[in-house]
Amino acid sequence: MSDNKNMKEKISALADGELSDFETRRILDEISSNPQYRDFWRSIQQTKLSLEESDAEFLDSDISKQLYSKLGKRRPIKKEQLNKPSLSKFQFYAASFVGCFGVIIYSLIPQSSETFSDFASQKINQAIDSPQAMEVLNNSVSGMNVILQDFESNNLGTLANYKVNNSGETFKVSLYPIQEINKIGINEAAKISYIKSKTGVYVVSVSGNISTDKKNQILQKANFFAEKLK
Amino acid sequence: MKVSNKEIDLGLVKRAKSGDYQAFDLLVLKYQSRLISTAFKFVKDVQIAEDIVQDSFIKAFKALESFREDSSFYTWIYRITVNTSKNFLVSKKRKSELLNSDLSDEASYEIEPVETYSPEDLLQATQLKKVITETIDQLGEDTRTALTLRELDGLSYEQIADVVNCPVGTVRSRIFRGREVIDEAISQYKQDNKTKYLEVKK
Repeated sequence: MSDNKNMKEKISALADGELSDFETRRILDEISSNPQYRDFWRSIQQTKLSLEESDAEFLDSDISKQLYSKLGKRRPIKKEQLNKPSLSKFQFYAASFVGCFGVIIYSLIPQSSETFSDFASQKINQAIDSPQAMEVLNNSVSGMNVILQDFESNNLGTLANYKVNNSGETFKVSLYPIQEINKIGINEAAKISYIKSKTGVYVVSVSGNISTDKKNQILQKANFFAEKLK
Repeated sequence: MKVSNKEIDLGLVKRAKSGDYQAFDLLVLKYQSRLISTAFKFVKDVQIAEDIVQDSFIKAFKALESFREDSSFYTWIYRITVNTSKNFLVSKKRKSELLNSDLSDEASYEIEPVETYSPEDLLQATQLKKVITETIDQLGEDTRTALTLRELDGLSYEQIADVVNCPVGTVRSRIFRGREVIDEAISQYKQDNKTKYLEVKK
């Protein structure tokens, strides 16, 4: 039996309360890194509900995604979209790339009434959801071993928080239009770089308790991917 | 020994209490449809019902420490949902009274009814239920027996093994196989639905 089937069989047993504590812990860890397993859990629950006489009219409703965001939790990312290296490596480059991707796309489209951050935020969502973007990101993975802890956009730009897997160091990468630079407090430890496009200049900033070399490396990668996309 | 839902949930609640959100997420996936249905009976609007259930889960998550482990998680979250629904209705009534008193001499004002559960949504849920039950009917006899003894009679794997006279491991894999087939049918149904939706949009 393949690993995938073996894991699903355990999820099935978990739904019936037939797993040991140790196995349960392992399965929950797996579910957290693979939404395919989470979907399987959901289909088991849908089956249970559909076999009951009542209450099946909302069988297909799903509020769990909104809850993730309202409770500030991070949703599992599809493993099948990340064929190779580790998920954490991908997550690090995802935010760097996605930020640049938003800027570049923005530069190619005529100005509208939408603000930069709205547009970048939209593109970020699209990029994360797009398998093609995932592939590009996945191919570009190399270097640091970090975990994306959270990621947000507001009217000043976008910001991602990371943790380095081995050392536990944390840092932030942000991206915003240069005209917002005065509104954003850049602390002394931050390293910044500029990305120039046809429609303006954008700032990428890295701050946190990682070395200057690592910060430079991140900025270089951000610029590198921006160049590649142009 | 029969495995109760309460025991299954308790294991997940304990993990959620120790900070594991995935365990809480599994409880959300397990009970969301039932609770939306409960809230809908009060508020008669699917969007509001979903919002109420979201709020209820948020309240439950934040108050997880106060959950007593000798009680049932479902009863607890059910009670929270009912109370949240009732509170919504009370506050809606108050707002409506306030609005009516403000507009008492403006009889020509019309308040648009809120959108309720659409026939399309209802049809979709009914179709999904049909897909699931039909797939179960098409399962091989051994698989179907194991699955129905578990789902309808609530027997443990050990009890099922006694009834059908086979090892517990076989029961476990038969139940899994049945669920796997159902999962594929659900995925196929959703895929077909998505395609139809995109065709209509064209």
